[in-house]
Amino acid sequence: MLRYAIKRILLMIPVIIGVSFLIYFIMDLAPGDIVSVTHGETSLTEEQMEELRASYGLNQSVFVRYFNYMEGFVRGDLGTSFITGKPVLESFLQKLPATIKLAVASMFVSLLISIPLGIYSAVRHGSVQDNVAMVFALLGLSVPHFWLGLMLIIVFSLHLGWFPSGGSSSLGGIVLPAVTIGTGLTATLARTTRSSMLDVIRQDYLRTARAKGVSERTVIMKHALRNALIPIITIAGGQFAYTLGGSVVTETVFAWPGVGRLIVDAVNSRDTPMVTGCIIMKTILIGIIVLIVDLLYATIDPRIKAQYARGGKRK
Amino acid sequence: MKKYLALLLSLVLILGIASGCKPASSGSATPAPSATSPETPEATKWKEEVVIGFNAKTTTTNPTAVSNVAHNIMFNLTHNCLTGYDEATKEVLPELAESWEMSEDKKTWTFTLRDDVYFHNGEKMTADDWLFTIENGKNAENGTVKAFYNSIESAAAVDEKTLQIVLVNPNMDLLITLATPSYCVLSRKAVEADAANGPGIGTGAWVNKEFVSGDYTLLERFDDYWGELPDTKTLRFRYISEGSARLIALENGEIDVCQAPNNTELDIIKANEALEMISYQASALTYLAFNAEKESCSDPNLRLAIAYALNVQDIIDGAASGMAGKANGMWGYYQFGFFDDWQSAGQADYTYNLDKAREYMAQSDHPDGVTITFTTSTTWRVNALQIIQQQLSPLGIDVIIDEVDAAGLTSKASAGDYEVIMYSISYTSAGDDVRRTFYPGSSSNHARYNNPRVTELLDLAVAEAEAATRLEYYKEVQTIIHEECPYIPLYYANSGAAVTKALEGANFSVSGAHDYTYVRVPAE
Repeated sequence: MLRYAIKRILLMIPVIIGVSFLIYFIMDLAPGDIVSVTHGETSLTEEQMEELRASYGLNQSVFVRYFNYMEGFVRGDLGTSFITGKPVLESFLQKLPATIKLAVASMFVSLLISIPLGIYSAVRHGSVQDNVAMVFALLGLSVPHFWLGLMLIIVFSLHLGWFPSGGSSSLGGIVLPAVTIGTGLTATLARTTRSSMLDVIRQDYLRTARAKGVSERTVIMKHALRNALIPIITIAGGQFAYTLGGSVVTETVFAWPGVGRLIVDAVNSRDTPMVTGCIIMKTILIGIIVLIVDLLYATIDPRIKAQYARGGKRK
Repeated sequence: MKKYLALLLSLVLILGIASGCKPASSGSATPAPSATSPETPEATKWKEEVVIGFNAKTTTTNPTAVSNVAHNIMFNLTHNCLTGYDEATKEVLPELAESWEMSEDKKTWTFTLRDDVYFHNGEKMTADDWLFTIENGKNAENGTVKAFYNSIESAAAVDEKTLQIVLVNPNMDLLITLATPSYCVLSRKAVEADAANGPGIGTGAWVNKEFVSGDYTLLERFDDYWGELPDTKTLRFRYISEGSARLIALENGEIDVCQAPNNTELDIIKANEALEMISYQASALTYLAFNAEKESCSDPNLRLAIAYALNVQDIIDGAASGMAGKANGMWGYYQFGFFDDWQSAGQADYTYNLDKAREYMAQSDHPDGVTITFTTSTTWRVNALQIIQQQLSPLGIDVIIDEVDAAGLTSKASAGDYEVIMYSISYTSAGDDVRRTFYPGSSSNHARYNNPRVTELLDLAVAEAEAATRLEYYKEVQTIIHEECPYIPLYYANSGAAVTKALEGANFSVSGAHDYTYVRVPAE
């Protein structure tokens, strides 16, 4: 299993190179640069603007700049922000805890709703309750985060006064943004739970367990759910990785100081080192989460553990 | 059934605990005297912290690195300049300089400094700190700051209290320019010890306590401030970019000031008795600029035809929800040298007159019509262009709208890659600030305008000590520009802030760089 994990970590290297190359060149293709953004409305002449561009290294070709950037990256230097003048890694790590908190809280909300909902729907398959549950789940996916966030603020913050309207300075500040994001994640996870449970519920061994007198609760929660977990973990892992990338809309509505807004602001300001550095870090984080999800499979399913032990090859 | 009841009760318990996590309300729920006319008795207890909801992000505490509205608000609090400027009376005031003298050749300025000023690190301010500031500024990251300091040929500390600077060329706007936060004093000791954070050490009434870029800034009162001490102990600036969320935070009492609320929510503010709306016509001037380097825009008759075909009030009502004032000239209405009495100059206002527009069109190079691309960014400007598109169709002018993002717009503007551009500019109060719009080679000269007489007048005016003569020069500049119409001024957008009614002491500026030095709110 260790060999499998190391192999997966090494495979991340070409991914990081590919992603960074793509981002760097896309940023270069976008019209405008840091100098036009920060000095476009001044009385500076074109010559003075070109001098400024040279000070940022923008007079060099994009290939030279990319090579220099990656040379620094290999040494652990993600570059310096054009806007703040501070190391990109420092800015990213400053925002990361808030993003992690929000991602964890959102997943908690999502799992809290979607797994019981999916199990309930599977057990009551075809019934009115099943349809209602799925419609409810779909609503969470269909409603725009921007609208939902504002509605939650109006109801729970402005009218009821239960939670602050935004910011991360208090514990209660995480509730509304987590519910906003979590509600959106619920639909997919609930439907996955439902379909995965339906596949398992029909298996013969569960009929045998019932015949042997095992309680329905134990049949569902201990035998069926465990075998249904693989696709659920896959989806949940993917969703966690997605939320860890930062949810720009929710962060904006709730003034949540996360990575999402950091990246969008950097794109708007043409702060190439910040964009590239943050996306590389996101890529690494997502890669680690996907690896953890894969390793979790082994914990749940001994057949997968054995497969990993064979170097990922099926028998 | 029991299990579900237990689950429900647990949920209620959790929500009840979480509801206690909401911060205590910071605003007054009862009507209080107006923010602009304090009637509160002297013995009043004041809230220790005032919270301002910001709509723009700050990225640095270094005044020489960035100059825009959001940062200038901060720097006005943490730093001081040689001079100050009173927008209401249009007077230059002493600040760190008690007095000053100009030499006969208008290039040498001698400033007598205050003797009771200390930096936040405890060091006393001397003329040597100003020498350091000027030398440091000559290599500033900010190109505008760098250009200004390089217009100073030399500087000397005559003694600890006397600073002398010699300019490359005379500049009658020097004193107004020196009031800009970018040109505040830096502590030599602080910056040499810590180049990254040292520039954040100022002499202002407020000290940088905590700064989290893109989240909040916390300022603490500087008890050794040379001026009157504020009553408030801390100021917190929270970055809440979403307008509705910012207003809700104000209604909730989480913040005391909501900068730039959405125009569509002004009725909500007016209906709330605990809030007050401070509105003003801002300095941002929206205009159309015709690129003289493009054949389609080089004909003045075509430009004048467009000017008279536009119903600016309709554009204001449609694109700015009526929240703007029509602009009659390419100048700041509050700016030195502003002139718009066109009739006295033998000209006509650019007021909507379709017949006149058709006359100019008939005399133009395109009497049968023409297709022109108008380039801009942001939703409200695009909305304005859509209205303009309709207004120009009777003339046979087919408007193509080219929408780009903000960075793309400045890039196109720099490269001259447009026929007509819709842009906004905020001038300072200094008359010479219009140079960036009319001077050949300037990156803000979006009309690519080059009139030798205008260039000559601008250079004469900036060096002219007699105010009346300067005004005549600027009047002639504006008259020429109005006649040739390289720009069509449209409007100055309104702006404002919503505040808790009990708030006092805030000084709101047309530039948006409001002064919160003495802001205070009575404690509940």
